[in-house]
Amino acid sequence: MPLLESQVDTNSPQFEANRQAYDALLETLRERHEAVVGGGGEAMMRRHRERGKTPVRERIDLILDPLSPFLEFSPLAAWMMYDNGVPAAGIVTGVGIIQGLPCMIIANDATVKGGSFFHETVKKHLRAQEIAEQHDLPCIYLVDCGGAYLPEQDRVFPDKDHFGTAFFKQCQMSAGGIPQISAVFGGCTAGGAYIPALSDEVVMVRGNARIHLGGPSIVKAAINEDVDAETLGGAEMHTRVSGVSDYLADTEAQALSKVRDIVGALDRAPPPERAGSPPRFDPAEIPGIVPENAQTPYDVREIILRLADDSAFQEFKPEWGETLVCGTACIHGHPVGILANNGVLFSESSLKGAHFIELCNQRNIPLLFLQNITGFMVGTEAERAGIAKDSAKLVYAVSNARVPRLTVIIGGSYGAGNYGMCGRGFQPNFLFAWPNARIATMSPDVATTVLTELRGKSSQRGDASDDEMQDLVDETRRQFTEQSDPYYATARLWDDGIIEPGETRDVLGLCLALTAAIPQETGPSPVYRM
Amino acid sequence: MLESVLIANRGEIACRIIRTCQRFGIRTVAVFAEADADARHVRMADESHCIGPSPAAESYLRADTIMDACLAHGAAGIHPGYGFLSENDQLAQRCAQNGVTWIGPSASCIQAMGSKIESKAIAEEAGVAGVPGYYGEDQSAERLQREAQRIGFPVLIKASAGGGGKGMRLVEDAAAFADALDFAKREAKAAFGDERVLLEKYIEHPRHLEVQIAGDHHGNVVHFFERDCSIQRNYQKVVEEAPAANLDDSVREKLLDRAVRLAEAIGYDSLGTVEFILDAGDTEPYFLEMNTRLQVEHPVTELVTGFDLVELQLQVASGEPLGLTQDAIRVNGSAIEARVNAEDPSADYRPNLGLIARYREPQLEGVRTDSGVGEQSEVTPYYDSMLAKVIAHGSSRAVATRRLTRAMEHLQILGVDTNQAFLRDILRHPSFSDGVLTTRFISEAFPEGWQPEPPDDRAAVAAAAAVALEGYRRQSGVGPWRRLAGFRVAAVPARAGRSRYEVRPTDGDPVAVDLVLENDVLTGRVDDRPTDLRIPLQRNAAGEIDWWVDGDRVYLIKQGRTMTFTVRSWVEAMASAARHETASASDVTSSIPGLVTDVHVEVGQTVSKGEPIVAMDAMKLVFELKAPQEGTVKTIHCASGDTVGAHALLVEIEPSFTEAS
Repeated sequence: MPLLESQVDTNSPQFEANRQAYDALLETLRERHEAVVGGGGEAMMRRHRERGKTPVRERIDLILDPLSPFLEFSPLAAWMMYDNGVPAAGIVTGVGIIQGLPCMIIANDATVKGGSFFHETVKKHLRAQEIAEQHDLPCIYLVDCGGAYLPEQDRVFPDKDHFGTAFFKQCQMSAGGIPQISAVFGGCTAGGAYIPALSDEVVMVRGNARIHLGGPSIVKAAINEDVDAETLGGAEMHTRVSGVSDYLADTEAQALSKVRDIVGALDRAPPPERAGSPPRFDPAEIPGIVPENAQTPYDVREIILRLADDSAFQEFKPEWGETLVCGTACIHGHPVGILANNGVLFSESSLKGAHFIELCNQRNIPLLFLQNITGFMVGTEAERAGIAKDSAKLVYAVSNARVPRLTVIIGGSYGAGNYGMCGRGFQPNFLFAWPNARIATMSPDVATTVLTELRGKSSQRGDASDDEMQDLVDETRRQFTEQSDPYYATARLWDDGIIEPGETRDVLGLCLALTAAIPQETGPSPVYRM
Repeated sequence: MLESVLIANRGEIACRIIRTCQRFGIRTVAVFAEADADARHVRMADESHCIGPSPAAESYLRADTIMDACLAHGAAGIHPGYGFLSENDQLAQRCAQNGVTWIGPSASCIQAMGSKIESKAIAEEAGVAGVPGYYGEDQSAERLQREAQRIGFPVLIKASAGGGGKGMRLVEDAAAFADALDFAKREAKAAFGDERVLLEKYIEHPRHLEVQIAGDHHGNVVHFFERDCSIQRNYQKVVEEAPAANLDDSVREKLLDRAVRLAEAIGYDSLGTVEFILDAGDTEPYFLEMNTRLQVEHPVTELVTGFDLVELQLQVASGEPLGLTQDAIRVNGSAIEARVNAEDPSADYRPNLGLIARYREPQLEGVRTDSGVGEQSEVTPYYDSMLAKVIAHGSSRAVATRRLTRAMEHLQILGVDTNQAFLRDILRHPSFSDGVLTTRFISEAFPEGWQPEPPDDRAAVAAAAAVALEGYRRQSGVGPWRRLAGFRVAAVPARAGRSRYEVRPTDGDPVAVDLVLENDVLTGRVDDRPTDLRIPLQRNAAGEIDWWVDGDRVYLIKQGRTMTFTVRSWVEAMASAARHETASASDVTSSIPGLVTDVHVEVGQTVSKGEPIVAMDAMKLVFELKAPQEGTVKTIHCASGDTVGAHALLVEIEPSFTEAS
């Protein structure tokens, strides 16, 4: 494969200025990641430990094989929502290795509002299950939760993709041969009770774990029975009397060890492995390459050669449709077809992208979209050339690709460009964003222009005063700036997390290795030249 | 020379003899006891034959079976090595009767030097004085005082019937003699019912010096200079060297001259060693005894003189003359030997048994290793605990010391604990390089007794890291899920991946070690205390600490000091902790490895607390293992004659009462 050479001067003042600006972004990201690690705060942590309970991240460290990677999803879920009182949405999800097998860990954090479910908690839970289902990953539920957060019950309970869907998915995955294993560390009431109840195998910890459809207060209200929680749904009762639980553990460590034993006995083959080689150019240089000003163009190949094995890239149609760079490379040994924006999408670049996706489809090469897009080209010339039908061809191809798709938003993700480049709505296997990402229908500048013009033309509301116009400008700018912020997006689970440019290659490698376990869809598929 | 030789020995000396034989194309016949079926000497020899069960008395000490093997397999000569039958005139005589060449001195020489009393008399006659003393029947105070005067003060008065220091008295000068004699006699009378005493010259700072001698059947005798073997423990040599340091030439002349004179007097016709004792600072060496065989420490002489002493032994045994004049033998530089024993120098040199899991000899210039063991060698309770000798040669004593110290840091014997770190500390001790060596060296250098440095937090972290990295490499596939060890999204320190281990030293309480991997470097905390150890993911060592992993057993080697740990993941350790707690209280387990000599109980028998259950023998020590509590014998896991490891479950006892739960 041809080796790319970098044109970037890492000693230039420009590089240094970019790097400093990006370092500030990284510092914010790291601070925020540090902030959510503490869960519900020190006082809650202390209480948790005093009950003989282990913090959720320690549980995960203990259950994983030593030195296993842990690919965590959406750690900043619910960031700045609910007065920023639900760190990580009260749940930790991610993929790690247990007994040599990659497993999806879904672990409640009882120090955050008792581990109860907010809207984002449910969304994160479902997303983890979706990833597990797509990639055939055994699900390990480390259960320590109090069910739905009642003040938010209308956003948690009734709808599709609310709490019920989590149980639906458990049932479906079990039927699909994907193991569902629960270890119960705390009280599981009502809905929470069904996570273990719908698991293939269940371990409960003596003393702390409880499962009941209705807790003592509901029992009292419903049938006027006085009963303590331990008698009603304790680990010993469930393991020895009701049979709801299969294993009784004296300590959390024993429970974790038991889950490891269960996984060890699954007799599943680990996914196939491929050997990679590091890029010749350091991924840590990327912050010096991404311009401080998002409007400044730069060659996206500088990013590609810092993600690809050996910095090797086989570029497709390099001299046609240049604003979309297409080509194949390997990341951590896994072949990948890369589509990366290098300017506005024209008809030609759209057609080239569609053509390239067909190639990868036929050759079973997963796709990687590197989004940095303001949108498709506008104007008379573009419209007369049929940009609407040509961009649609790209969207068709993206939507119907049979190979795994990964998306990283490395810059702007605006308007229809988001669609053509496999945004969240197109359900890529994984979607991550960089801390400089912006996601919105349009940029604050464009939005301001559009909205003031609309207001100006409004016949219903008559002429606007200057003050009114200024308010509209300010309000529009504020709204679009706030909502296109990557933290606004990640808080709402529009992505699987914000990652650093320097670790992007590793994250992609881990994801590609998981997608490699998906059985390949084969069948006749023509490559339409466009 | 001989066509074939049977080696009536085992261990390093058998291997060493085989090596010289091989150099001369002599066919070698090894004999072995059952415990040694897979021993190094057995594998080295051209052929090997079992001569009986493991105990030496039934195998290596059986002159008759050995002679049968010799005749059956047509060996032309027998080399007895050292120990076992080497100073046994019976085997020498059997050889003579059967026309087999005995590679050692004639039976008459062995007999002459075999008895301590007789040999002293022969030496006196040859003008080689022993330690001055008086052993006469005349017990009058005047006679004793006169004899003391003759011997010269200080003088030791000992009870003739004595032992254990009873009735012993040290007299510094003539004036104090009468009172001391009175006291000693009374004490002797009280202790032994016999007030007779003997007198001996008191040697305050004894140096153990010896001279290597060789003679042939043609009346030639030469010496190969002296060795200093003063560093001893329990009368066993630990470190030996040639030539003796800090020795006056005039004294050396006396030693060499007297040794040759004695050898000539008895017509000595093989390799031998004449041992002397010298009070440091004095000029008069006294004859102790003569060893009519090859000595353990002969390699130091070989390295400084350049002769192969076994070759000479073979040569003169077959009747050839030595063909050497004294002035052809010169000393070149200095050589020091350290005896590596499977023993615990911090616990009265208690022997250690077991399987050698890893064995690496030092590969260093000027260093020779004579060893009888290798990887997978079993150290059994039947024989001497010496595994190997490491000998360094250098242009000066300082160079030889440095080389041997380094060799002690490099040698790796894992699985069975040895005295390696003790040897290293002897060599590193300032008194070793500066002073005059005496037999008090060890007690003076280590007045509180020698103790190895205890395992510290760094060692615990290294042990955990060894297991983590071993697991990582063993499982290590090529893909990112294997290669990206410890990866975390946005790896800020607070969310770095932690792996927790329980690390249990052999003798000590377990600790919890948290390993954190950041930027491919492992760091660790021990019970939440930070350590400064940084271990790169790709390394197979932590700073100066090397390691070897054998399942959940981790051996650390830090400059020759070996430490053994059992390392398990925290969840596994915690999960099994409860089971162990309930099992251990009432069972009988072996405290050290050894041989079960008797099981005193039967299944179903009721026992009381403290009742002896099992008798064990570890080399020279006998242990009675007792019932930890009252109960009924449930299961017996051992039988008399079994060799068991440390902490092995021997007998399970069902307690006769149950604890309130």
